[in-house]
Amino acid sequence: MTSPTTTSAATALPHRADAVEQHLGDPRDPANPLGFRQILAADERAEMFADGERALDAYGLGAEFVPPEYGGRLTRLDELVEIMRSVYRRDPCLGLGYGASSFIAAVNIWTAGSEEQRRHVAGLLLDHRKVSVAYHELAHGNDMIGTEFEAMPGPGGLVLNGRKEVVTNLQRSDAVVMFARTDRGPGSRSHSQLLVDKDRIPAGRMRYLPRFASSGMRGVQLGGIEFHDCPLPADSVVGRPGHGLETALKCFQITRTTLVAMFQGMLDTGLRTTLRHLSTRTLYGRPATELPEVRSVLAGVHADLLLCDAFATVGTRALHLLPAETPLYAQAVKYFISRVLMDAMHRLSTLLGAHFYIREGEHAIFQKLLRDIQPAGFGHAARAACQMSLLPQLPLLARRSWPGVEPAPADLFRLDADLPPVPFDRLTVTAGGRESLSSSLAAGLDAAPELATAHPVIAKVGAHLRDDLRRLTAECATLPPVELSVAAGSASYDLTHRYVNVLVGAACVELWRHNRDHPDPFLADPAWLAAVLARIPLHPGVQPPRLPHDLDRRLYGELIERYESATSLGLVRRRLAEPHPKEK
Amino acid sequence: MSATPAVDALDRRLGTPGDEHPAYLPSALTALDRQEAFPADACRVLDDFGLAAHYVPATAGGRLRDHTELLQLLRTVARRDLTVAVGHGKTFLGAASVWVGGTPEQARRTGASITAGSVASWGLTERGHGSDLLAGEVSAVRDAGGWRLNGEKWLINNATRGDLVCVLARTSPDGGPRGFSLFLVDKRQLPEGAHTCLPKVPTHGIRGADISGITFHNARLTDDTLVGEVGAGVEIVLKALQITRTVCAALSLGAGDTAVRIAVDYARHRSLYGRTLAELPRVRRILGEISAAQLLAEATGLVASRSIHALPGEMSVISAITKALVPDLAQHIIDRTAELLGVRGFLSEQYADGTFAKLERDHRVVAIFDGNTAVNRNALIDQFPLLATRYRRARTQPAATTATTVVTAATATTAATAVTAATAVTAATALGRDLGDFSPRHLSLISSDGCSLVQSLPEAAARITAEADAGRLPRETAVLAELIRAEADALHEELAAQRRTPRDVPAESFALAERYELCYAAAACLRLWLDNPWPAGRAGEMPAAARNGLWLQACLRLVLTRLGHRLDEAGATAYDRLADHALDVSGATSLTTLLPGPASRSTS
Amino acid sequence: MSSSAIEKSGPDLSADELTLWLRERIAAHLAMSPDAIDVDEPLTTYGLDSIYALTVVAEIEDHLGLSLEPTVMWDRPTVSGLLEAIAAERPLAA
Repeated sequence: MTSPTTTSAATALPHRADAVEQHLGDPRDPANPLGFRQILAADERAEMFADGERALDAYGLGAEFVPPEYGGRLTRLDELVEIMRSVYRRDPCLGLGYGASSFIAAVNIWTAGSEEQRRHVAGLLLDHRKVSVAYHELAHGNDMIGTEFEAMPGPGGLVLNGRKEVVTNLQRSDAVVMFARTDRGPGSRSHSQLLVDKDRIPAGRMRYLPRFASSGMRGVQLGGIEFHDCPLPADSVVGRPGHGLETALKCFQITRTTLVAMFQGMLDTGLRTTLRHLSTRTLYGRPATELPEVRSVLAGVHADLLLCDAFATVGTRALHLLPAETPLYAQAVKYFISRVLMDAMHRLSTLLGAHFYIREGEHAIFQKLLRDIQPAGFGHAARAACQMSLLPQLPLLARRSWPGVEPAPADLFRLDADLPPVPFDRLTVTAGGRESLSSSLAAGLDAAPELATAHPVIAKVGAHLRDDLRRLTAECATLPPVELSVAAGSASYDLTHRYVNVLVGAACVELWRHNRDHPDPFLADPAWLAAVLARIPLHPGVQPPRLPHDLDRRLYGELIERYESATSLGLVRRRLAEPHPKEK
Repeated sequence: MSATPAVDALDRRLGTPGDEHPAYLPSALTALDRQEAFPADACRVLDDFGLAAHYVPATAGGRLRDHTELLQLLRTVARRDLTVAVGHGKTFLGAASVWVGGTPEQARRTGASITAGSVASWGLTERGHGSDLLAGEVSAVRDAGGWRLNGEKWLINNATRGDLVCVLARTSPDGGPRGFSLFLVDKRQLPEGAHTCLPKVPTHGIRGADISGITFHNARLTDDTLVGEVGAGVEIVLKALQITRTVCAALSLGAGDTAVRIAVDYARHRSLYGRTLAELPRVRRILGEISAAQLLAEATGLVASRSIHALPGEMSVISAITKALVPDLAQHIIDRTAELLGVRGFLSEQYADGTFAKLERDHRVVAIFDGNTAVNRNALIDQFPLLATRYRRARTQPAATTATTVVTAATATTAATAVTAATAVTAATALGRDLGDFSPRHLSLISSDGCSLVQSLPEAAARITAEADAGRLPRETAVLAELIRAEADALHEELAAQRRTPRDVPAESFALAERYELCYAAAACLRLWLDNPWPAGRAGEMPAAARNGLWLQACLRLVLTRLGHRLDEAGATAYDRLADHALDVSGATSLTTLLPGPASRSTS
Repeated sequence: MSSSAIEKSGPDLSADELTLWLRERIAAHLAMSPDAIDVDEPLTTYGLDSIYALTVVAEIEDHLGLSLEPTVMWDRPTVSGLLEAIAAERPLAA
């Protein structure tokens, strides 16, 4: 299904995301029917934001999840992420409950579905309908092999039995992608995805479970479903029967990477809201933003956002360019970004003080986002599950990649380089310990010797990560089997943390090096690189230190400039729908 | 040790997990939270118990003799529900200024009123000014032998429910530190129309609490409502905050108790990948680490609350440390537990009746309640120069040497001070020792003695080394103690070198404050170990982890890790063994604590 | 990697040696005795999980110097099945 053409970056990146921004309008404008006021009111009622859903219908967000061959606009995942950040930064319930859950479902179909299933799902999404994705069973969590829900051969096809729980949109979707046991024997070929068209479910064989109430994402309808001897045509199976685990592991690379990248939109609003509050607030006779500690925390959080964006950018581009390696990167991206985002939101809450705790007034969106961001850590995949997926790869990595391989290609990092279509047909279940990004760290640092003197932090963190990769190579080569399993010791889990840091560092260094000619002078300035490297949590369980003074000033200045010009806070600036504060 | 009959009785009254008093059923409490309804039934149970009398000093006719007992009582409530603890315990905060700055007669009158059921509230903050007390606009002006009160207090816990409101008002138009006075207003005695209560503010957590405000419309106050001298308001408030901020540790300790319990319970029963989570070393490490964090928080809270009696002159430092560090540790415990629970921690009804999801929201108020973390760190930073010089003095003239040295006239005073300080520290850390009455007149806005507990850290580390030499502690513990001593020495050098103006506190001062808090917590642990018998023979009463010194090793390790030290993996097994203790205790209702008695009782 | 009774690697291995080596490696991964592994029993029965199996395949590749489908152990979950799959990829030593 992939077409050989590439999409042009020049036309692709900014404009559709900008269109969504303008379509949804200034979120802080109380007169905007799509603004925070209405979003919060829906959240209070634990309902989806109906006007927001209609607005996204009008934009045709569903088409963003559908490849062009089937009539949609899904050509570049980085574009999709950027578009969805505009939704998430307003209302994560819309992001997940309107968008991402259907996207997750659809990726299963693009990866493994039949032509007919693809057309069907594309038709639903282009028609603004929802497709839900039911993998989760409370009893088994991330342990998919433990899945009990089953679809066994029966008269006329399959017979469904069992239940799925805490699943987004289960009740209001037109179709459900389900993960089911299709063989009672043990093993890795005992599961399949089903595309269950609700029209084909006979009466009396299925019931919905009561909605699951949640403390965040309150508007999202988390439901359950239970089947009892429910017949279903055999053509409901997605892909080769028994290959469900393989399909799942492939799809997760796309969805784990992009979903957590979308969550970054929340930190954008969190940061903007905090800055807005503090710049209008007088404390001890002057604006709160003049307090050095306040500036330091804000600058640190902005660096965190850039850090997340850098890693997400490389992780997302890798899905297009290096699909053989993304079984590793996707786990790393999800593991790393989720924690940084949650910690950053927490630090912002301490700056807002009592104001973050109030569910009304102009900063009320913050407490909603603080609640809504929590699934970053467990939704779709728990952080610990990501570590468990990386663990068994460590000895292979130590043998096959870490001693040094050909570094990742420049196109992975060049923001103006075209991307081939999403290679759904080239995703693999495992990287087999082969990846090139870790080798890019030393390669990138060596190729840009000026970095050694550009800022002490770059030299320090760069050296630390290089040394740590060497140590990891030695430590991981001899890890005994028990240390590669779920029952591994705590120190082994920490090895994955350290490895992820190397990937993050490499992504940052190479992004900087390959975009020195970018028209935005900020990207050419090694200051951003120094700031993001300074924020990498080098030691598991220990928060990174505050930024050094000079970087504090640089990042804070950048933050203020972006805030005042109503541009986004990530690596690539985008004009947001907020009015220019100085024009007001 | 510190488990008093009152704490024990309250704990029994409220019931154990699975066997709660009806008003404390988790499902009932989370339902009230959803309805944003005040937990009136639960508060009534506390009223019937007579908890309010524990908010009133014995000298004012109440039962408050030991602030550690009060800490443990409120922790006992907070463990069940933070909304209840905040809603009921606010009366203590509201009245604290009277205990600190009022006349004996006022205290007796207020005490009688509170014991009889009056709810007190504390009117400090105003819209737009938050923690900046000197910016307050509510004013009181002299009027025919009394006062006229005008203006709005906002984000006030129990402003609507409260009968008494202790109001900080501007009594000099120019304001300033002597421009404010305190009034204990009895709303019931105000004429019609003299005040309006503001609507309840919807909040992120503690949704049932009465967070509202009150506006005074030229309310006439009699002269006897004035607490302390005219112009003494800010000073009295700052001193009262030293007490209340310390007691607020109870909220975090109770929340931490419950988070650890839920985490342990989950690990014990949850099966994944064919085994229980408790069997996985990684999960055990997490359980051990959060247990250590809880014990570290408890050690800090215990020593700090005892210091209200033993070291009142140092409470400006101690309260700031406690209020910054203890909620931070509890937040860490909650975050780790949330990660362990995954989606279950996010479900507001279907898992553990939503107790954890509620706790996660509720506890975030503690760091902003009664002075936020930044305010407290600022208060500590303000005293860095004193902390540095006093530490240096103690290092050069340790109290222990005075008995055997010839004391010259020149050093006699210093040495005498050191001996007194040493005795006072021991009073704070020897849990069995009877504490004298709390004497508010010894409270001070700055601590001229610095922080005696931290000053005792080097000597304590030396004694720990001696204990290890004698085989009573593992060598590892002595190594950790010495590392912390070196950390404390280095930190004080940095404190001394800090250059700042009062207005421009550099951001790195906040990092130093965080390190200072950790040194304090470590010193608390070291001294608790050294100054208390941990009787090996009293199994069943004393938690095993408390007897064998394992807790000390785990807490010191946690402190050093937080200070940025990289320690070798081998020593981290202290966490694992701590987790084994937590998992081994029979029943799901045991707690991680250093204390015997109800806090550790598995069933009642 | 723990020391193996079979020091040879790659194409030098005979079919028997390969069987021995494979049982030994899998046994090491499962922390059990090689003798306890029935070559016709699905390895999942012994607790070899799906993700981990991908790693075992990579180790076999490195040891034998050949390339296998990463999911080969999902499709051929027994030692004997795996040997057949390997045999199809390499010329047997004499």
